[in-house]
Amino acid sequence: MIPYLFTLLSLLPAKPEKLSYGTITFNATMQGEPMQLHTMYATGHGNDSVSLSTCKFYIVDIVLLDGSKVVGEPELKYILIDLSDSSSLNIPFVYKGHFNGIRFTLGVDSATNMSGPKAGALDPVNGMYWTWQSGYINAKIEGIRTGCDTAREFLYHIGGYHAPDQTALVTYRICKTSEKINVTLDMERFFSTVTCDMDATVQIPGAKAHALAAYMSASFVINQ
Amino acid sequence: MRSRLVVIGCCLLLSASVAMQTNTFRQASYFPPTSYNFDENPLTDAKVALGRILFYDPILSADSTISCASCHSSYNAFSHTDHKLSHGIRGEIGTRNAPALFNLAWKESFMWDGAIHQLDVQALAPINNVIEMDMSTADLVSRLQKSAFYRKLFFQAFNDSVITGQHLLQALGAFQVTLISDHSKYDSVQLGTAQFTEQEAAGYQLFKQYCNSCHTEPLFTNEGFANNGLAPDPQLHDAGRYRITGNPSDSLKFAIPSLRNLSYTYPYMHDGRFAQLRQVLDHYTSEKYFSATLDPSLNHAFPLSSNDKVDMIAFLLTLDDKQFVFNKAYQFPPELLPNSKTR
Ligand code: HEC
Ligand code: HEC
Repeated sequence: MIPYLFTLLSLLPAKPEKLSYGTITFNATMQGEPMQLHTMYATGHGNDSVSLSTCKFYIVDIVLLDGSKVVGEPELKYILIDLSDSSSLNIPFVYKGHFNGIRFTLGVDSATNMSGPKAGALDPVNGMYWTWQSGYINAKIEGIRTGCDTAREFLYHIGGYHAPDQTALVTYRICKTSEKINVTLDMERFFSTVTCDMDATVQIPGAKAHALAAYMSASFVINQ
Repeated sequence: MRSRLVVIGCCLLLSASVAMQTNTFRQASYFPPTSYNFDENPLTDAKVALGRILFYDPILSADSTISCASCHSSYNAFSHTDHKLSHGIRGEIGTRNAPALFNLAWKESFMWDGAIHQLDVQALAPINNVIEMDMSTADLVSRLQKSAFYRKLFFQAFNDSVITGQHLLQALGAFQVTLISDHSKYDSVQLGTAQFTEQEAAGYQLFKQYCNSCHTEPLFTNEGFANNGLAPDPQLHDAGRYRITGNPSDSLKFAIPSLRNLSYTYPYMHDGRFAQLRQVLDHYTSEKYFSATLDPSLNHAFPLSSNDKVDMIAFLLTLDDKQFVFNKAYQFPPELLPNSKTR
């Protein structure tokens, strides 16, 4: 906490300005409806429906921006969002003045991937570290989909930090100054790009994981 | 003055013999710099002692039957000699030979295909593997958390009796970093306290000519990967490093193993196909299985006579490190004995 506040404060003008407090809330939606795990939702495409059993992902280095200037950030650098754990979905942050954008990385940087086991959100007990090879799983999206030729399970473990298939992608969205920011993973958008003719299982780094990370990053929407 | 020197000398001797019994890290003068990140996981006696206990405790497997030592036995330089392929939980048979464990602080990657790049995270692989120990990391941590024995040991090692995955892995890593093999005859020759016999010296010359580019002294590996021309096993379909990089130029390449302690680590190669050193040398002196990735230095069979082979084996045996293999400080820890008061 101290080092973050410190960098934050050092960026600010000498005249002390009041610190404000807010909360970023993550959720996943299908056609505007908040998704619960283990529940079927129509995707809006034919008779396609999706039920999620796991939706977990790392959000790293969230900052609130006024132009290109960082004016706000949460206490922690690494945050694990887990739809099955409501306490993981609300991220308190502090800011000064105004912001007009939000930026975060969907996944863990390569330096952290290259080093030894970590604590907290990054502890391998959270099940977000590959075991058969080194590296973080940046996102796990698992569930059942009915609209394809046959009902099928899908299993996306998205990770990998080697060029050109890096999966930790920087995501930027316009965002008005507010104490409440809702960051929504729009699953309708995700499953309209991840179509039935794509693999139902991706569990290794590579071009497919990279593409999935890009679709996922593109599916974040700010609701205010 | 003189008696003081004697006293100091005795102390040095004493501390040297004590050092043999406790597990610490040491760096022989002629060894290269280490790769292990000691800053991230500083070694302490308590951490190393905890790591040793964890290494030998079958509590790490789902049905409490398999420990790390089940596949990595101290008497075999921490490899396994009964089986070509490793045997795990419920008698399940793996796809590779369990490699020996020593001088790990100098290794840049782990596993036959280099899947793992950091020693401390390696243990996640056997713990979670359904045919090895079949435990989820989270379940293992909560199992350990229930044990007063382990809460105390983790507190001593990390100043925290809340057990975490990070601390579990760091303790196992710390113990394994102390597994150092640098007391073979070869090492004494390096230090000038022993000499090769004529036969060993002849073998050493041949070794430098044919083998040292890959099995580079003093660690006897250059830490790289190579295809040394073994025909792929039709049942195992193991493409080696290709599985990790997806790069066709890595097909059939495997980690170049150290050649220290070969007397204790048979059978040889990633699938344990050779039971004897003689067979290994016969492989290098015959036509190889040809593929695009075969190492160019092995395109031709090495022209070693049967006398040359005898010399070469004599040299390879100077890499055996009895002191390492029979070091009590690496063996089953007394704390785990059923009648131990600490348990
Ligand atoms: C069922 C047998 C088995 C068990 C149990 C087992 N291992 Fe292994 N170990 C292996 C095999 C086989 C490999 C090689 C795997 C590969 O290359 O894919 C290996 C590789 C390793 C390596 C990499 C060595 C190198 O030079 O690349 C380390 C380190 C290691 N094991 C430590 C451990 C630890 C620590 C434990 C306990 C938590 C453990 N092993 C449990 C069989 C086992
Ligand atoms: C081009 C690099 C290269 C050269 C040269 C080379 N090796 Fe190897 N060696 C390897 C590789 C790679 C392996 C592991 C292969 C596998 O398991 O698929 C290996 C394995 C071995 C093993 C088995 C060790 C174990 O623990 O399983 C022995 C013994 C060995 N080599 C001895 C030699 C000798 C003796 C020479 C010289 C006559 C030699 N090698 C030359 C690359 C090389």
